[in-house]
Amino acid sequence: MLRYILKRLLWLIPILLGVSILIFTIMYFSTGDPARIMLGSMATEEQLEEAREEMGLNKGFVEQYLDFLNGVIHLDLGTSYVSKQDVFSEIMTRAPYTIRVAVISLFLSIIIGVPLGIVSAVNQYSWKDNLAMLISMVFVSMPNFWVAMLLVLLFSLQLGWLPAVGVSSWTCYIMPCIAVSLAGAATFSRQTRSSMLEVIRQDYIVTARAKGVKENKVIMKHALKNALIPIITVIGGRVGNMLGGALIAETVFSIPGMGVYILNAINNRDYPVVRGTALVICIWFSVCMLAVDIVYALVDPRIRSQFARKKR
Amino acid sequence: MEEKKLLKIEDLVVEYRTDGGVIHAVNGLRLELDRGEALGLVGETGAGKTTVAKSILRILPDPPAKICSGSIEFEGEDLLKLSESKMQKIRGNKISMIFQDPMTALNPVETIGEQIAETVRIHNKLSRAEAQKRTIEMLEMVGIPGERYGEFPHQFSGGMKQRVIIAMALACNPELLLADEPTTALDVTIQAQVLEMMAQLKKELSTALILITHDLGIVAEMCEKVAVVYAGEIVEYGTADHIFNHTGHPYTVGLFQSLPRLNSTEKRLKPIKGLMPDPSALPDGCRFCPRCPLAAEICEKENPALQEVAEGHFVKCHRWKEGAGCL
Amino acid sequence: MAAQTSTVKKTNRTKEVWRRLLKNRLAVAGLIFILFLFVVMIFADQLAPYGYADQDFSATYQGPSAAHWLGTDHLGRDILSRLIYGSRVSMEIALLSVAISAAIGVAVGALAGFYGGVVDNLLMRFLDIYQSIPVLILSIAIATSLGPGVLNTILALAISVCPQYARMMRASIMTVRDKEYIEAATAINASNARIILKHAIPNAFSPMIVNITMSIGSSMLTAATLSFVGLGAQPPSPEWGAMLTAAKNYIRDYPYMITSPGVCIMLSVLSFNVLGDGLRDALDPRLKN
Repeated sequence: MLRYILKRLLWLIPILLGVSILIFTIMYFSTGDPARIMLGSMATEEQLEEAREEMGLNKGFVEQYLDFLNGVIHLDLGTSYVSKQDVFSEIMTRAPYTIRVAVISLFLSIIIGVPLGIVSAVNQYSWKDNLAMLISMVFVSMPNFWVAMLLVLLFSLQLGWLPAVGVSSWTCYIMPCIAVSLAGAATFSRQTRSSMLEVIRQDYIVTARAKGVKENKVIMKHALKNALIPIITVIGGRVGNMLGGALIAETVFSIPGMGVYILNAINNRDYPVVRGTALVICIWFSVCMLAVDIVYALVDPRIRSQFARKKR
Repeated sequence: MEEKKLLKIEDLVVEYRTDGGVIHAVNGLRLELDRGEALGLVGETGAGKTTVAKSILRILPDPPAKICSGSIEFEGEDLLKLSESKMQKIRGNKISMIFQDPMTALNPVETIGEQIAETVRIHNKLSRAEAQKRTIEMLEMVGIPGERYGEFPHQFSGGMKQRVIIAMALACNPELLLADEPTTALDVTIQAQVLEMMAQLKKELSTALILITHDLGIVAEMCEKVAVVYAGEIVEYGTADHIFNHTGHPYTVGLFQSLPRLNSTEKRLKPIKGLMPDPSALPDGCRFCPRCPLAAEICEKENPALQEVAEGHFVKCHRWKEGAGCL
Repeated sequence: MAAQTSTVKKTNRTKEVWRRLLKNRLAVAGLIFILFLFVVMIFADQLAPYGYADQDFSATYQGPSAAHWLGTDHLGRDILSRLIYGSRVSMEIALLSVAISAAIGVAVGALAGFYGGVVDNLLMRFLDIYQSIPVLILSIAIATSLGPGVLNTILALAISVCPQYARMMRASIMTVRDKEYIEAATAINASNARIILKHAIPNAFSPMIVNITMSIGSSMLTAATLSFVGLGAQPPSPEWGAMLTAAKNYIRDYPYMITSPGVCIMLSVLSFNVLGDGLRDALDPRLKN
């Protein structure tokens, strides 16, 4: 098991290296002259040239990438063109908000989605099943910033129950987390339902029944544990969406997290901020995927033994 | 007859209701079994053998399967009338089942020890440690070292998995063991081992056995009684000896003739012509009539009743007298 | 199994799939709405009561009325007309981006799956990296780099989503590759390209068509989100996401402005999703128990 985790950790290195190259390359070919953006339209050609030299923009692609990489290793993501602030420290003060929303939402969508999927699968084709699946489908089909707006409309503006903006108390997190988790819960319930249905048909479920195991234990122990494997994959895949959703929800609810940061930067063509934030999010995402792979191995002994050393 | 039978199935009718129509899987089947007795349930694929076994345990998938009528008396009690929770106490305890495909019958994410111990714990008031001890005993009885308790199904070969399943089925000393083609999925050499082991365990534990198979050779070795099933009905029933020596039903005759024999000089096997009738559209008369070499006019019109042709030997055929001469 | 059936059976199969699809009421509803969307797209000029950029400063912020069924926005533009014209933009983005990404993905996946070995390894490792970037972040990065606009949005979406198709195509080909009929095709000296075209691609068709349908929906959602963050379609384009974005400042006083574009997005995405779901069940009834 340890060997497996170690192996996966090592594999993270080339992945992150690749991600940094990809992000750098995409941003390198951005339209617009960073020096011009930084100095504004009043700057003279000499000032611009001086700024380019200072920012290292006159170097070649590879050299610029190596500079960037060197910075990343030293936790230096450059400075913002607009605010002249250090990008890394800025991200560090903002990240907790984003992570809070993303993690709570992920958790919420699991505890709503998975049980709903089980109920649907056990009562396949009943009205409960049909209703749950229709609602899930609707939730998957709504843009989450729109859900966020509707929530604000209902709970803040109409009912006045919850604050529409800010992070002054924990109640401020209720709506952002609901907005982000609805689609996730819907995805998980659909996946849980279909993998439960698949597992319930397997021979070993009949074996369990033939042993005299009680029906609810057949479902919760024998079936769910097997059905969990594809569900975990989907949960892992959804971590990215959760992060994205959190970024968007932040802008609706004015939470001072990474979302507001990156979106302002996009509008100002503040490339170091966009690049740095994107990279940090990708690292976070990769670590989550790694965690998913490890949970995977914990649930499925077949995967575990594939990587474990042969028995003595 | 005066002594109470262990198992008595009367007029069992099971149907599968699908979009494509009603499939008549079992049609008025009767069966009796004494304590410690071994019965071979023989027939082609799709004859309804497995459905019978699963009906006894009431583990048929519902929907689409539906037990329409009949009774299954076990120790004088009708299983079909029991509540689900009472039925759970019988499953794996008094009646247990061995499944056809050991590769898929074990839960891949639980250790085999835990899977056996679960049965033990459900039906006996035992502590974890006691259940584990009992499990290890069972494992060793089927020839698996106790140290393998904590291993997972994927670490076992097919034959070993079937041993695990047998250990699981016998863990609570059941009165009745239903073995659904326990060896078809195994290699021939392993088949012999598993069968031998089953025969021995059956003798030691004096468990009654219903062995479902299409292999008459296995039946001859293991069973005192034979029931031949065709299209959800029993067409011949009696002691193995009598049936093998005085075969009554043309279908049984056909089954014997389609077996290869080492000591025979015949060049070719004689397979039974044709296929089993479509179970959603059974013929009116005798179900075997379309394939029967002895079919006469009456066979097309009237489904024959099961008649006693010798003591304890029943045949469901209008022309059993002619049939008896065939072999 | 499907590929082994002869061509005669294939036409039967198509019919069979249709029959099963039409039995699924939800999928039929989705299909009808999609057809309706296409009609609206094509006849937008005839259907829309006003032009999508026609401003009427005497009639700003009007709630639904007989003259403006869905009201007017802050510039006095008729929301219904904008939604009707907007269907063109939104559908164009969704359909084209999926078409492009499917084309790229299928090509890459086919290469990787069929040639295997080094080519496969390199491409797959590249995709591993690619997919370590959340789709939204990747499309934001690409769209930022390309700059806003409809065409750039299409490209950004297409590039972000294509790994999915590559993986699916590769997986399908891998399973097909070792089957006997490919061996048979090799034995009669058919070329690799011919084998790919004639055997492997049709075999990967079912999962592909389902995924394409579903990802039209998710493309619409991502496109709307890009508009929301200021990339994507720019004003005065009546793209639905852009309309929502513009309306967000007036949510307090004129909530009707955010409902109708949102409902349009939701219904369109929902239609593609239920159709995709229905297609999957129809193509592989085994999954449906």
